[in-house]
Amino acid sequence: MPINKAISEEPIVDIQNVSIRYGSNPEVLSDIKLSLARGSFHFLTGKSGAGKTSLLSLMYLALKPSLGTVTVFGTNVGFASRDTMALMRRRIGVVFQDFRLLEHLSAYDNVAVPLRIRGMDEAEISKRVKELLHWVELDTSMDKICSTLSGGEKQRVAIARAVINRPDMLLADEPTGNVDDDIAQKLMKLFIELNRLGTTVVIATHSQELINAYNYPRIHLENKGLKIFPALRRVISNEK
Amino acid sequence: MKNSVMLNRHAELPLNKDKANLFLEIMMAITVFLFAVALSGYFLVDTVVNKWNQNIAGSLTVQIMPSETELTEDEANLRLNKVITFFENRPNVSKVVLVSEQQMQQLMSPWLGADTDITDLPMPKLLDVYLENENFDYEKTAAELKELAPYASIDDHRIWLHRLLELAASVKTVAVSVLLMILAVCVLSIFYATCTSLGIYKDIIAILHIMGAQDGYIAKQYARRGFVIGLFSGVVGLLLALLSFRFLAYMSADMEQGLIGNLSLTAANWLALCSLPPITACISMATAYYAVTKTLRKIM
Ligand SMILES: Nc1ncnc2c1ncn2[C@@H]1O[C@H](COP(=O)(O)OP(=O)(O)OP(=O)(O)O)[C@@H](O)[C@H]1O
Ligand SMILES: [Mg+2]
Repeated sequence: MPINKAISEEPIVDIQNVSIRYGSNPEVLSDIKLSLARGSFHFLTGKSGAGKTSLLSLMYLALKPSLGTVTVFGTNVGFASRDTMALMRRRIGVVFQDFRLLEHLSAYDNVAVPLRIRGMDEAEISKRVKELLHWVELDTSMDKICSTLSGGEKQRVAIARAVINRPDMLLADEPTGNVDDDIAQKLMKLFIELNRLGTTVVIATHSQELINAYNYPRIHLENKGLKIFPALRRVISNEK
Repeated sequence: MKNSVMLNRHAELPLNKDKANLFLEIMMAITVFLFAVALSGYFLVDTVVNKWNQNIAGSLTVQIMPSETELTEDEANLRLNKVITFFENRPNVSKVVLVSEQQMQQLMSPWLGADTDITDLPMPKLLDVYLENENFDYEKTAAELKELAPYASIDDHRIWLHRLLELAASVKTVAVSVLLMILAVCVLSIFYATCTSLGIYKDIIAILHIMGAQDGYIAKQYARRGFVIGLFSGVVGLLLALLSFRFLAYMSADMEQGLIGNLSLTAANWLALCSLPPITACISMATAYYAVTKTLRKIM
Protein backbone atom coordinates (compact mmCIF):
# COMPACT_ATOMS: atom_id res chain seq x y z
CA MET A 1 0.00 0.00 0.00
CA PRO A 2 2.20 2.87 -1.20
CA ILE A 3 1.52 6.18 0.43
CA ASN A 4 1.25 9.15 -1.81
CA LYS A 5 3.18 11.88 -0.06
CA ALA A 6 0.89 14.70 -1.17
CA ILE A 7 -2.21 12.91 0.02
CA SER A 8 -0.64 11.82 3.26
CA GLU A 9 -0.57 15.47 4.31
CA GLU A 10 -4.34 15.43 4.34
CA PRO A 11 -5.94 13.90 7.45
CA ILE A 12 -7.60 10.56 6.86
CA VAL A 13 -10.43 11.52 9.18
CA ASP A 14 -11.43 15.08 9.90
CA ILE A 15 -14.21 15.76 12.37
CA GLN A 16 -15.28 19.38 12.77
CA ASN A 17 -17.73 20.73 15.36
CA VAL A 18 -19.54 17.44 15.49
CA SER A 19 -22.30 16.61 17.94
CA ILE A 20 -23.90 13.21 18.32
CA ARG A 21 -27.28 12.59 19.81
CA TYR A 22 -29.66 9.69 19.57
CA GLY A 23 -33.23 10.78 18.93
CA SER A 24 -34.23 13.39 21.44
CA ASN A 25 -31.85 12.14 24.15
CA PRO A 26 -29.20 14.51 25.44
CA GLU A 27 -26.07 14.79 23.33
CA VAL A 28 -23.51 12.02 23.75
CA LEU A 29 -20.70 14.07 22.27
CA SER A 30 -20.86 17.79 21.83
CA ASP A 31 -18.98 20.02 19.42
CA ILE A 32 -15.90 17.83 19.10
CA LYS A 33 -12.94 18.29 16.75
CA LEU A 34 -10.63 15.47 15.76
CA SER A 35 -8.16 15.02 12.97
CA LEU A 36 -6.36 11.74 12.35
CA ALA A 37 -3.22 11.79 10.22
CA ARG A 38 -2.73 9.00 7.73
CA GLY A 39 -0.72 6.21 9.28
CA SER A 40 -1.40 7.30 12.85
CA PHE A 41 -2.20 4.93 15.72
CA HIS A 42 -4.49 5.96 18.58
CA PHE A 43 -6.10 4.40 21.56
CA LEU A 44 -9.62 5.58 22.35
CA THR A 45 -10.60 5.64 26.00
CA GLY A 46 -13.40 6.89 28.20
CA LYS A 47 -15.83 5.58 30.73
CA SER A 48 -18.51 3.17 29.70
CA GLY A 49 -21.17 5.21 27.94
CA ALA A 50 -18.77 8.04 27.14
CA GLY A 51 -19.35 7.59 23.43
CA LYS A 52 -16.41 5.54 22.15
CA THR A 53 -18.56 3.27 20.02
CA SER A 54 -20.54 6.28 18.82
CA LEU A 55 -17.39 8.10 17.74
CA LEU A 56 -16.11 5.02 15.92
CA SER A 57 -19.41 4.48 14.12
CA LEU A 58 -19.20 8.06 12.95
CA MET A 59 -15.84 7.15 11.41
CA TYR A 60 -17.04 3.93 9.80
CA LEU A 61 -19.94 5.86 8.28
CA ALA A 62 -22.73 4.06 10.08
CA LEU A 63 -23.81 7.11 12.04
CA LYS A 64 -24.58 10.59 10.76
CA PRO A 65 -23.66 13.47 13.07
CA SER A 66 -26.55 15.57 14.31
CA LEU A 67 -24.33 18.62 13.78
CA GLY A 68 -20.99 19.35 12.13
CA THR A 69 -19.02 17.83 9.27
CA VAL A 70 -17.19 14.55 8.99
CA THR A 71 -14.61 14.14 6.25
CA VAL A 72 -13.15 10.70 5.60
CA PHE A 73 -10.48 10.03 2.96
CA GLY A 74 -10.96 13.64 1.84
CA THR A 75 -14.68 13.17 1.11
CA ASN A 76 -17.31 15.07 3.04
CA VAL A 77 -19.56 12.27 4.24
CA GLY A 78 -22.62 14.53 4.32
CA PHE A 79 -22.50 14.93 0.55
CA ALA A 80 -21.28 11.50 -0.51
CA SER A 81 -23.57 9.34 -2.64
CA ARG A 82 -24.65 5.88 -1.54
CA ASP A 83 -22.22 4.22 -3.90
CA THR A 84 -19.34 6.48 -2.91
CA MET A 85 -19.99 5.63 0.73
CA ALA A 86 -19.97 1.93 -0.09
CA LEU A 87 -16.62 2.27 -1.83
CA MET A 88 -15.23 4.31 1.09
CA ARG A 89 -16.38 1.67 3.55
CA ARG A 90 -14.39 -0.97 1.69
CA ARG A 91 -11.27 0.89 2.75
CA ILE A 92 -12.26 0.73 6.42
CA GLY A 93 -11.89 -2.34 8.62
CA VAL A 94 -14.18 -2.52 11.64
CA VAL A 95 -14.02 -4.75 14.70
CA PHE A 96 -17.31 -4.40 16.55
CA GLN A 97 -17.49 -4.53 20.31
CA ASP A 98 -20.16 -7.23 19.97
CA PHE A 99 -18.41 -8.81 16.93
CA ARG A 100 -21.49 -8.78 14.72
CA LEU A 101 -20.51 -11.92 12.90
CA LEU A 102 -22.92 -13.63 10.55
CA GLU A 103 -23.78 -16.35 13.03
CA HIS A 104 -25.15 -18.84 10.50
CA LEU A 105 -21.97 -18.85 8.43
CA SER A 106 -18.66 -20.57 9.09
CA ALA A 107 -15.62 -18.70 10.38
CA TYR A 108 -14.14 -19.02 6.91
CA ASP A 109 -17.18 -17.50 5.19
CA ASN A 110 -17.33 -14.65 7.68
CA VAL A 111 -13.77 -13.65 6.97
CA ALA A 112 -14.43 -14.01 3.24
CA VAL A 113 -17.34 -11.55 3.21
CA PRO A 114 -15.36 -8.35 2.52
CA LEU A 115 -13.52 -10.06 -0.31
CA ARG A 116 -16.71 -11.42 -1.84
CA ILE A 117 -18.24 -7.96 -1.65
CA ARG A 118 -15.26 -6.79 -3.67
CA GLY A 119 -15.94 -9.54 -6.20
CA MET A 120 -12.63 -11.33 -5.72
CA ASP A 121 -12.45 -14.84 -7.21
CA GLU A 122 -12.86 -17.79 -4.87
CA ALA A 123 -9.38 -19.22 -5.38
CA GLU A 124 -7.74 -15.99 -4.25
CA ILE A 125 -10.23 -15.65 -1.40
CA SER A 126 -9.47 -19.15 -0.20
CA LYS A 127 -5.74 -18.48 -0.21
CA ARG A 128 -6.00 -15.24 1.72
CA VAL A 129 -8.61 -16.34 4.23
CA LYS A 130 -6.82 -19.57 5.11
CA GLU A 131 -3.54 -17.76 5.57
CA LEU A 132 -5.06 -15.20 7.91
CA LEU A 133 -7.08 -17.74 9.89
CA HIS A 134 -3.89 -19.73 10.36
CA TRP A 135 -2.23 -16.61 11.64
CA VAL A 136 -4.95 -15.98 14.27
CA GLU A 137 -4.74 -19.67 15.22
CA LEU A 138 -8.16 -20.64 13.97
CA ASP A 139 -7.17 -23.29 11.38
CA THR A 140 -9.11 -25.99 13.15
CA SER A 141 -12.22 -23.85 13.70
CA MET A 142 -12.32 -22.58 10.14
CA ASP A 143 -15.39 -24.57 9.09
CA LYS A 144 -17.25 -24.23 12.35
CA ILE A 145 -20.47 -22.24 12.27
CA CYS A 146 -19.87 -18.99 14.11
CA SER A 147 -22.65 -19.44 16.62
CA THR A 148 -20.73 -22.42 17.98
CA LEU A 149 -17.46 -20.56 18.51
CA SER A 150 -16.21 -19.34 21.88
CA GLY A 151 -16.09 -15.63 22.66
CA GLY A 152 -12.37 -15.42 22.05
CA GLU A 153 -12.65 -17.34 18.80
CA LYS A 154 -15.40 -15.03 17.63
CA GLN A 155 -13.27 -12.05 18.45
CA ARG A 156 -10.43 -13.39 16.34
CA VAL A 157 -12.83 -14.07 13.46
CA ALA A 158 -14.10 -10.51 13.79
CA ILE A 159 -10.55 -9.16 13.67
CA ALA A 160 -9.61 -11.35 10.74
CA ARG A 161 -12.67 -10.09 8.88
CA ALA A 162 -11.68 -6.48 9.61
CA VAL A 163 -8.12 -6.79 8.36
CA ILE A 164 -8.53 -9.25 5.45
CA ASN A 165 -8.86 -6.37 3.01
CA ARG A 166 -5.72 -4.59 4.28
CA PRO A 167 -7.86 -1.55 5.08
CA ASP A 168 -6.59 2.04 4.93
CA MET A 169 -8.19 2.59 8.30
CA LEU A 170 -8.83 0.06 11.07
CA LEU A 171 -11.36 0.87 13.79
CA ALA A 172 -11.41 -1.69 16.57
CA ASP A 173 -13.83 -1.56 19.49
CA GLU A 174 -12.43 -3.48 22.48
CA PRO A 175 -10.65 -5.94 20.21
CA THR A 176 -8.74 -7.76 22.95
CA GLY A 177 -11.42 -7.97 25.58
CA ASN A 178 -12.13 -11.69 25.28
CA VAL A 179 -8.80 -13.26 24.48
CA ASP A 180 -5.87 -14.63 26.48
CA ASP A 181 -2.93 -12.33 27.06
CA ASP A 182 -0.68 -14.01 24.55
CA ILE A 183 -3.34 -13.91 21.85
CA ALA A 184 -4.02 -10.28 22.77
CA GLN A 185 -0.35 -9.53 22.26
CA LYS A 186 -0.36 -11.34 18.97
CA LEU A 187 -3.38 -9.35 17.80
CA MET A 188 -1.76 -6.10 18.87
CA LYS A 189 1.27 -7.12 16.83
CA LEU A 190 -1.05 -7.61 13.86
CA PHE A 191 -2.46 -4.11 14.29
CA ILE A 192 1.00 -2.64 14.66
CA GLU A 193 2.17 -4.47 11.55
CA LEU A 194 -0.80 -3.17 9.58
CA ASN A 195 -0.11 0.31 10.89
CA ARG A 196 3.48 -0.01 9.74
CA LEU A 197 2.17 -0.86 6.27
CA GLY A 198 0.20 2.39 6.25
CA THR A 199 -3.12 1.63 7.92
CA THR A 200 -4.47 4.28 10.26
CA VAL A 201 -5.53 2.54 13.48
CA VAL A 202 -7.91 3.51 16.29
CA ILE A 203 -8.44 1.05 19.14
CA ALA A 204 -11.10 1.66 21.74
CA THR A 205 -10.21 0.01 25.01
CA HIS A 206 -10.82 0.00 28.73
CA SER A 207 -7.56 -1.75 29.39
CA GLN A 208 -5.02 0.47 31.09
CA GLU A 209 -2.60 -2.41 30.75
CA LEU A 210 -2.84 -2.35 26.99
CA ILE A 211 -2.36 1.42 26.91
CA ASN A 212 0.67 1.16 29.13
CA ALA A 213 2.18 -1.72 27.23
CA TYR A 214 2.06 0.06 23.91
CA ASN A 215 3.18 3.53 23.48
CA TYR A 216 0.61 5.37 21.43
CA PRO A 217 -1.32 8.61 21.80
CA ARG A 218 -4.73 8.38 23.35
CA ILE A 219 -8.05 10.03 22.51
CA HIS A 220 -9.99 10.37 25.72
CA LEU A 221 -13.74 11.04 25.88
CA GLU A 222 -15.12 12.78 28.92
CA ASN A 223 -18.07 15.08 29.62
CA LYS A 224 -19.20 15.00 25.99
CA GLY A 225 -15.82 16.33 24.97
CA LEU A 226 -12.54 14.96 23.72
CA LYS A 227 -8.93 15.30 24.81
CA ILE A 228 -5.84 13.93 23.16
CA PHE A 229 -2.98 12.66 25.29
CA PRO A 230 0.35 12.18 23.56
CA ALA A 231 2.23 8.90 23.79
CA LEU A 232 3.30 8.24 27.34
CA ARG A 233 6.91 7.78 26.50
CA ARG A 234 9.08 8.23 23.51
CA VAL A 235 8.55 5.71 20.79
CA ILE A 236 11.41 3.28 21.02
CA SER A 237 13.54 4.08 18.03
CA ASN A 238 13.74 0.57 16.62
CA GLU A 239 9.99 0.25 16.65
CA LYS A 240 9.40 2.97 14.14
CA MET B 1 -33.25 -28.63 0.12
CA LYS B 2 -33.47 -27.74 -3.53
CA ASN B 3 -32.98 -24.16 -2.48
CA SER B 4 -29.86 -24.74 -0.50
CA VAL B 5 -28.36 -26.51 -3.47
CA MET B 6 -29.27 -23.83 -5.94
CA LEU B 7 -28.79 -20.79 -3.76
CA ASN B 8 -25.29 -19.60 -3.17
CA ARG B 9 -24.10 -21.89 -0.40
CA HIS B 10 -22.29 -19.17 1.49
CA ALA B 11 -24.76 -16.36 0.81
CA GLU B 12 -24.65 -13.94 3.71
CA LEU B 13 -28.42 -13.69 3.87
CA PRO B 14 -29.93 -17.04 4.96
CA LEU B 15 -32.77 -16.65 2.48
CA ASN B 16 -33.05 -20.37 1.82
CA LYS B 17 -34.26 -20.73 5.40
CA ASP B 18 -36.65 -17.81 5.12
CA LYS B 19 -40.13 -18.65 6.37
CA ALA B 20 -41.62 -16.61 3.55
CA ASN B 21 -40.30 -19.07 0.98
CA LEU B 22 -43.05 -21.61 1.43
CA PHE B 23 -45.68 -18.91 1.28
CA LEU B 24 -44.15 -17.52 -1.90
CA GLU B 25 -43.84 -20.94 -3.46
CA ILE B 26 -47.45 -21.87 -2.79
CA MET B 27 -48.70 -18.47 -3.85
CA MET B 28 -46.71 -18.50 -7.06
CA ALA B 29 -47.55 -22.09 -7.91
CA ILE B 30 -51.24 -21.20 -7.64
CA THR B 31 -50.59 -18.08 -9.67
CA VAL B 32 -48.92 -20.00 -12.46
CA PHE B 33 -51.67 -22.61 -12.34
CA LEU B 34 -54.37 -19.95 -12.77
CA PHE B 35 -52.30 -18.23 -15.38
CA ALA B 36 -51.92 -21.44 -17.36
CA VAL B 37 -55.64 -22.13 -17.15
CA ALA B 38 -56.62 -18.60 -18.20
CA LEU B 39 -54.07 -18.66 -21.00
CA SER B 40 -55.27 -22.04 -22.28
CA GLY B 41 -58.84 -20.74 -22.13
CA TYR B 42 -57.78 -17.81 -24.23
CA PHE B 43 -56.03 -20.07 -26.73
CA LEU B 44 -58.99 -22.42 -27.00
CA VAL B 45 -61.50 -19.63 -27.57
CA ASP B 46 -59.14 -18.30 -30.20
CA THR B 47 -58.90 -21.68 -31.92
CA VAL B 48 -62.66 -22.22 -31.83
CA VAL B 49 -63.35 -18.78 -33.24
CA ASN B 50 -60.88 -19.36 -36.03
CA LYS B 51 -62.53 -22.66 -36.86
CA TRP B 52 -65.96 -21.07 -36.97
CA ASN B 53 -64.64 -18.36 -39.15
CA GLN B 54 -63.11 -20.84 -41.54
CA ASN B 55 -66.00 -23.26 -41.63
CA ILE B 56 -68.90 -20.90 -41.58
CA ALA B 57 -67.99 -17.47 -42.72
CA GLY B 58 -67.02 -18.87 -46.07
CA SER B 59 -70.34 -20.53 -46.71
CA LEU B 60 -74.07 -20.15 -46.59
CA THR B 61 -76.93 -22.57 -46.61
CA VAL B 62 -79.85 -22.37 -49.01
CA GLN B 63 -83.13 -24.00 -48.14
CA ILE B 64 -85.52 -25.17 -50.85
CA MET B 65 -88.95 -25.76 -49.47
CA PRO B 66 -90.92 -28.75 -50.70
CA SER B 67 -93.67 -27.87 -53.13
CA GLU B 68 -97.21 -27.81 -51.84
CA THR B 69 -98.46 -29.67 -54.87
CA GLU B 70 -97.35 -33.06 -56.12
CA LEU B 71 -94.51 -32.76 -58.65
CA THR B 72 -93.03 -35.23 -61.08
CA GLU B 73 -89.41 -36.07 -60.60
CA ASP B 74 -88.45 -33.95 -63.61
CA GLU B 75 -90.36 -30.96 -62.32
CA ALA B 76 -88.77 -31.33 -58.92
CA ASN B 77 -85.28 -31.56 -60.43
CA LEU B 78 -85.93 -28.53 -62.58
CA ARG B 79 -87.03 -26.61 -59.55
CA LEU B 80 -83.84 -27.58 -57.74
CA ASN B 81 -81.47 -27.09 -60.64
CA LYS B 82 -82.77 -23.60 -61.22
CA VAL B 83 -81.51 -22.60 -57.82
CA ILE B 84 -78.22 -24.49 -58.17
CA THR B 85 -77.50 -22.82 -61.49
CA PHE B 86 -78.46 -19.46 -60.04
CA PHE B 87 -75.79 -19.81 -57.34
CA GLU B 88 -73.19 -21.38 -59.60
CA ASN B 89 -73.40 -18.34 -61.83
CA ARG B 90 -73.14 -15.77 -59.04
CA PRO B 91 -69.84 -13.98 -58.68
CA ASN B 92 -67.61 -15.03 -55.73
CA VAL B 93 -69.16 -18.45 -55.35
CA SER B 94 -66.67 -21.31 -55.50
CA LYS B 95 -68.87 -24.36 -55.15
CA VAL B 96 -72.49 -25.40 -54.66
CA VAL B 97 -73.16 -28.75 -53.01
CA LEU B 98 -76.48 -30.45 -52.47
CA VAL B 99 -76.76 -31.94 -49.02
CA SER B 100 -77.36 -35.63 -49.64
CA GLU B 101 -80.32 -37.60 -48.28
CA GLN B 102 -77.90 -39.51 -46.11
CA GLN B 103 -76.59 -36.29 -44.55
CA MET B 104 -80.13 -35.07 -44.12
CA GLN B 105 -80.98 -38.24 -42.31
CA GLN B 106 -78.01 -37.71 -40.03
CA LEU B 107 -79.00 -34.12 -39.37
CA MET B 108 -82.53 -35.06 -38.56
CA SER B 109 -81.84 -38.16 -36.48
CA PRO B 110 -81.74 -36.32 -33.14
CA TRP B 111 -85.35 -35.27 -33.77
CA LEU B 112 -86.79 -38.15 -35.68
CA GLY B 113 -84.73 -41.04 -34.43
CA ALA B 114 -82.13 -42.92 -36.44
CA ASP B 115 -84.53 -45.46 -37.93
CA THR B 116 -87.10 -43.14 -39.49
CA ASP B 117 -86.96 -43.13 -43.25
CA ILE B 118 -87.15 -39.51 -44.32
CA THR B 119 -87.47 -40.10 -48.07
CA ASP B 120 -91.23 -40.16 -47.70
CA LEU B 121 -91.42 -37.01 -45.68
CA PRO B 122 -91.81 -33.59 -47.26
CA MET B 123 -88.29 -32.51 -46.41
CA PRO B 124 -86.71 -29.27 -47.65
CA LYS B 125 -83.61 -29.65 -49.75
CA LEU B 126 -80.45 -27.99 -48.54
CA LEU B 127 -77.62 -26.49 -50.58
CA ASP B 128 -74.22 -25.63 -49.15
CA VAL B 129 -72.89 -22.66 -51.05
CA TYR B 130 -69.16 -22.04 -50.58
CA LEU B 131 -67.92 -18.54 -51.09
CA GLU B 132 -64.60 -17.52 -52.59
CA ASN B 133 -64.10 -14.37 -50.56
CA GLU B 134 -65.71 -11.72 -48.41
CA ASN B 135 -67.14 -9.79 -51.36
CA PHE B 136 -70.29 -11.83 -51.71
CA ASP B 137 -73.34 -9.57 -51.77
CA TYR B 138 -75.96 -11.14 -49.52
CA GLU B 139 -78.73 -8.57 -49.93
CA LYS B 140 -78.62 -8.45 -53.69
CA THR B 141 -78.48 -12.23 -53.96
CA ALA B 142 -81.37 -12.67 -51.57
CA ALA B 143 -83.50 -10.21 -53.52
CA GLU B 144 -82.78 -11.81 -56.91
CA LEU B 145 -83.35 -15.28 -55.54
CA LYS B 146 -86.76 -14.21 -54.29
CA GLU B 147 -87.68 -13.13 -57.81
CA LEU B 148 -86.44 -16.27 -59.44
CA ALA B 149 -87.46 -18.92 -56.92
CA PRO B 150 -89.64 -17.72 -54.06
CA TYR B 151 -89.58 -21.25 -52.61
CA ALA B 152 -85.85 -20.94 -51.82
CA SER B 153 -84.34 -18.91 -49.02
CA ILE B 154 -80.86 -18.08 -47.80
CA ASP B 155 -80.01 -19.10 -44.27
CA ASP B 156 -77.44 -16.55 -43.29
CA HIS B 157 -74.82 -17.72 -40.76
CA ARG B 158 -73.46 -14.29 -40.33
CA ILE B 159 -75.93 -13.13 -37.73
CA TRP B 160 -75.42 -15.80 -35.14
CA LEU B 161 -71.74 -16.07 -35.98
CA HIS B 162 -71.44 -12.39 -35.29
CA ARG B 163 -73.01 -12.86 -31.86
CA LEU B 164 -70.72 -15.77 -31.09
CA LEU B 165 -67.71 -13.78 -32.17
CA GLU B 166 -68.76 -10.97 -29.89
CA LEU B 167 -69.12 -13.42 -27.01
CA ALA B 168 -65.74 -14.94 -27.82
CA ALA B 169 -64.17 -11.50 -27.83
CA SER B 170 -65.52 -10.72 -24.37
CA VAL B 171 -64.36 -14.10 -23.08
CA LYS B 172 -60.92 -13.22 -24.40
CA THR B 173 -61.03 -9.80 -22.75
CA VAL B 174 -61.92 -11.44 -19.45
CA ALA B 175 -59.08 -13.93 -19.90
CA VAL B 176 -56.60 -11.14 -20.54
CA SER B 177 -57.79 -9.15 -17.51
CA VAL B 178 -57.49 -12.26 -15.36
CA LEU B 179 -53.95 -12.75 -16.67
CA LEU B 180 -53.06 -9.16 -15.82
CA MET B 181 -54.56 -9.37 -12.34
CA ILE B 182 -52.76 -12.62 -11.64
CA LEU B 183 -49.53 -11.01 -12.75
CA ALA B 184 -50.16 -8.02 -10.48
CA VAL B 185 -50.89 -10.24 -7.47
CA CYS B 186 -47.72 -12.19 -8.13
CA VAL B 187 -45.51 -9.12 -8.46
CA LEU B 188 -47.01 -7.45 -5.39
CA SER B 189 -46.57 -10.55 -3.23
CA ILE B 190 -42.94 -10.87 -4.16
CA PHE B 191 -42.44 -7.19 -3.59
CA TYR B 192 -43.90 -7.21 -0.10
CA ALA B 193 -42.37 -10.53 0.89
CA THR B 194 -39.02 -9.06 -0.10
CA CYS B 195 -39.61 -5.90 1.91
CA THR B 196 -40.57 -7.98 4.95
CA SER B 197 -37.48 -10.08 4.54
CA LEU B 198 -35.30 -6.96 4.38
CA GLY B 199 -36.76 -5.99 7.75
CA ILE B 200 -36.03 -9.41 9.21
CA TYR B 201 -32.42 -9.36 8.04
CA LYS B 202 -31.73 -5.70 8.61
CA ASP B 203 -28.89 -6.45 11.03
CA ILE B 204 -27.08 -8.60 8.50
CA ILE B 205 -27.72 -6.01 5.82
CA ALA B 206 -26.33 -3.29 8.08
CA ILE B 207 -23.15 -5.34 8.56
CA LEU B 208 -22.84 -5.91 4.82
CA HIS B 209 -23.27 -2.19 4.23
CA ILE B 210 -20.58 -1.37 6.76
CA MET B 211 -18.26 -3.76 4.98
CA GLY B 212 -18.86 -1.86 1.77
CA ALA B 213 -21.61 -3.82 0.06
CA GLN B 214 -23.65 -1.83 -2.43
CA ASP B 215 -27.40 -2.37 -2.56
CA GLY B 216 -26.93 -4.40 -5.73
CA TYR B 217 -24.86 -6.97 -3.82
CA ILE B 218 -27.77 -7.57 -1.45
CA ALA B 219 -30.33 -7.34 -4.23
CA LYS B 220 -28.52 -10.09 -6.13
CA GLN B 221 -29.02 -12.53 -3.29
CA TYR B 222 -32.73 -11.75 -3.26
CA ALA B 223 -32.89 -11.93 -7.04
CA ARG B 224 -31.28 -15.37 -6.95
CA ARG B 225 -33.82 -16.55 -4.41
CA GLY B 226 -36.60 -15.03 -6.50
CA PHE B 227 -35.41 -16.86 -9.57
CA VAL B 228 -35.18 -20.23 -7.84
CA ILE B 229 -38.58 -19.88 -6.20
CA GLY B 230 -40.14 -18.60 -9.42
CA LEU B 231 -38.78 -21.47 -11.47
CA PHE B 232 -39.76 -24.10 -8.93
CA SER B 233 -43.27 -22.76 -8.41
CA GLY B 234 -43.66 -22.22 -12.13
CA VAL B 235 -42.95 -25.85 -12.86
CA VAL B 236 -45.26 -27.02 -10.07
CA GLY B 237 -48.07 -24.71 -11.17
CA LEU B 238 -47.75 -25.74 -14.80
CA LEU B 239 -47.76 -29.44 -13.90
CA LEU B 240 -50.91 -28.90 -11.86
CA ALA B 241 -52.52 -27.15 -14.81
CA LEU B 242 -51.55 -29.95 -17.20
CA LEU B 243 -52.95 -32.50 -14.79
CA SER B 244 -56.25 -30.69 -14.62
CA PHE B 245 -56.36 -30.43 -18.42
CA ARG B 246 -55.95 -34.17 -18.65
CA PHE B 247 -58.72 -34.55 -16.13
CA LEU B 248 -61.00 -32.23 -18.11
CA ALA B 249 -60.18 -34.04 -21.34
CA TYR B 250 -60.97 -37.33 -19.67
CA MET B 251 -64.26 -36.05 -18.30
CA SER B 252 -65.35 -34.54 -21.61
CA ALA B 253 -64.20 -37.42 -23.80
CA ASP B 254 -67.84 -38.31 -24.53
CA MET B 255 -69.00 -34.84 -25.47
CA GLU B 256 -66.62 -33.28 -27.94
CA GLN B 257 -67.21 -32.49 -31.58
CA GLY B 258 -70.36 -30.59 -32.43
CA LEU B 259 -69.96 -26.86 -32.42
CA ILE B 260 -66.58 -26.69 -30.80
CA GLY B 261 -64.89 -29.48 -32.68
CA ASN B 262 -61.81 -31.17 -31.40
CA LEU B 263 -60.42 -29.00 -28.62
CA SER B 264 -56.68 -28.88 -28.78
CA LEU B 265 -53.80 -26.51 -28.34
CA THR B 266 -51.39 -25.75 -31.14
CA ALA B 267 -47.65 -26.21 -30.88
CA ALA B 268 -47.27 -22.46 -30.42
CA ASN B 269 -49.80 -22.59 -27.56
CA TRP B 270 -47.83 -25.35 -25.87
CA LEU B 271 -44.64 -23.40 -26.28
CA ALA B 272 -46.28 -20.40 -24.62
CA LEU B 273 -47.48 -22.57 -21.72
CA CYS B 274 -44.08 -24.16 -21.24
CA SER B 275 -42.42 -20.76 -21.20
CA LEU B 276 -44.46 -19.85 -18.10
CA PRO B 277 -41.96 -21.22 -15.54
CA PRO B 278 -38.90 -19.43 -16.95
CA ILE B 279 -40.92 -16.25 -17.44
CA THR B 280 -42.19 -16.48 -13.85
CA ALA B 281 -38.64 -16.99 -12.66
CA CYS B 282 -37.48 -13.87 -14.49
CA ILE B 283 -40.38 -11.72 -13.31
CA SER B 284 -39.87 -12.87 -9.75
CA MET B 285 -36.12 -12.25 -10.01
CA ALA B 286 -36.56 -8.76 -11.41
CA THR B 287 -39.24 -7.85 -8.87
CA ALA B 288 -37.08 -8.99 -5.95
CA TYR B 289 -34.10 -7.04 -7.26
CA TYR B 290 -36.18 -3.92 -7.77
CA ALA B 291 -37.84 -4.26 -4.34
CA VAL B 292 -34.44 -4.47 -2.61
CA THR B 293 -32.79 -1.54 -4.32
CA LYS B 294 -35.88 0.62 -3.93
CA THR B 295 -36.52 -0.27 -0.29
CA LEU B 296 -32.94 -0.13 0.96
CA ARG B 297 -32.58 3.35 -0.44
CA LYS B 298 -35.55 4.34 1.68
CA ILE B 299 -34.88 2.58 4.96
CA MET B 300 -31.08 2.38 5.37
N1 LIG C 1 -28.47 3.29 19.07
C1 LIG C 1 -28.57 4.04 20.18
N2 LIG C 1 -29.74 4.61 20.53
C2 LIG C 1 -29.88 5.38 21.62
N3 LIG C 1 -28.87 5.64 22.44
C3 LIG C 1 -27.65 5.11 22.17
C4 LIG C 1 -27.44 4.28 21.02
N4 LIG C 1 -26.15 3.91 20.99
C5 LIG C 1 -25.59 4.48 22.07
N5 LIG C 1 -26.47 5.19 22.78
C6 LIG C 1 -26.18 5.97 23.99
O1 LIG C 1 -25.08 6.78 23.72
C7 LIG C 1 -24.19 6.80 24.82
C8 LIG C 1 -22.79 6.39 24.35
O2 LIG C 1 -22.82 5.06 23.95
P1 LIG C 1 -21.55 4.34 23.36
O3 LIG C 1 -21.96 2.97 22.98
O4 LIG C 1 -20.97 5.20 22.29
O5 LIG C 1 -20.58 4.32 24.62
P2 LIG C 1 -19.20 3.56 24.79
O6 LIG C 1 -18.20 4.58 25.18
O7 LIG C 1 -18.89 2.75 23.60
O8 LIG C 1 -19.50 2.61 26.00
P3 LIG C 1 -18.86 1.16 26.35
O9 LIG C 1 -17.50 1.41 26.86
O10 LIG C 1 -19.76 0.62 27.40
O11 LIG C 1 -18.89 0.38 25.10
C9 LIG C 1 -24.77 5.85 25.84
O12 LIG C 1 -25.40 6.63 26.84
C10 LIG C 1 -25.79 5.04 25.10
O13 LIG C 1 -26.88 4.76 25.93
MG1 LIG D 1 -18.80 0.81 23.19
